[in-house]
Amino acid sequence: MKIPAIYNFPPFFTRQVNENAWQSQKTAWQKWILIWCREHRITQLSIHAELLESPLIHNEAIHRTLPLPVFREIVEDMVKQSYAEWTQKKEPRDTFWVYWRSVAEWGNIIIKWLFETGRDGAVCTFYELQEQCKEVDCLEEGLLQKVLESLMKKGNVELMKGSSGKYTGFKVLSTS
Amino acid sequence: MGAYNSKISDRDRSILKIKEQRDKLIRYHKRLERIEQLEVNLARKCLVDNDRKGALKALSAKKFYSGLIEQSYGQLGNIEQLLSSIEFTLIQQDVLFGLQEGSSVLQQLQKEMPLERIDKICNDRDEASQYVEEVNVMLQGKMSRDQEDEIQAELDALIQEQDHHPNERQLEEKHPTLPTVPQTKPNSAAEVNSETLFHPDYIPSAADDDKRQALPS
Repeated sequence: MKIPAIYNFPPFFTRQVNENAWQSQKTAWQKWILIWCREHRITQLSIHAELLESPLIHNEAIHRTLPLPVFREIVEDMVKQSYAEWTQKKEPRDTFWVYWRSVAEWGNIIIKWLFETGRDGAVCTFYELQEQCKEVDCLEEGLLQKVLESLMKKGNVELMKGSSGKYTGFKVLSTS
Repeated sequence: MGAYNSKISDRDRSILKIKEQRDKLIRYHKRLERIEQLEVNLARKCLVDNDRKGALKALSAKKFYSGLIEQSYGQLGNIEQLLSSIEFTLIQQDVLFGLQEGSSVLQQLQKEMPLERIDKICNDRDEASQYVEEVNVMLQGKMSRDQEDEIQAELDALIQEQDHHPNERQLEEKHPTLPTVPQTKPNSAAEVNSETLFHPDYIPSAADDDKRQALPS
């Protein structure tokens, strides 16, 4: 992963007062967060104190850390532009999914894999899907369900409840 | 929200249950493998600390877990076999259903083609062609001997006509024209020029070879 030069630029970690500078700072942070999450295959983040030690917002070399409230502002912006989504509808909202791949793109990857492995018309569990399809094994549980729900709306699969009462599997519907 | 027609059959639900059991087994199996590995690491650590007893204990625990893992392999194999035979039987069912449909369609088509009707059609056709034959014979018979003689005479006349007034092509075939024999000796080099070179009767001789020049382009 090529680390952008701005990551080593101390003012990057301070919220700019000038409005234009703040806008371009937000954009740069957005890009950085997406690149970093894609590199580490992370699909969910939480705005907690633990994050302060993560290289995502803490650059040890220049001793700078992005303050969490500023990080939250950036995340709010990402949500508005559909690069992220809160996992809970109600306040307080701390956890969010990172869309370095959109829900639709994830859905397409899954569909392609299902047909390539001849699962047309078969029943498949979530566990089986994440074990066998390495591309999607980084999807956090809630996000996986969200992706499969979107596929259900498109008519590609039908979700099935397991013995626990929660959705644990799905049937692949033939396109015919 | 309108009624959603679920395409999931009871069969699918049972398959899901079996698959869930299989997933549980796999998770259990993974856990056992992790514990087994931990015991081995613990044994190594004990040896480093010169604790022989501790190492022995860890290794016997590891042996116990290895046994459990073997068992779980066996059970996993059973479940996988069950799942694949269910899948295969489902496919067999589909094939059987397809055959059934096909043969019933065939039967229906045959019903629309009863043998008696075909027989009748063939007979009608034979009768009709027989009738045509008879009519032909009768018509031919009506032509009397005289008319046949007349036709033959006409044909002879035509042949004679052709013999007395042959057209050019027939002549050519009988007497093809040959080129005339030249009256003079072939020309010497001094008299050769572009006019004579291209005359149809001009035949170049070998004696002129070295005197020949390339024509200007």
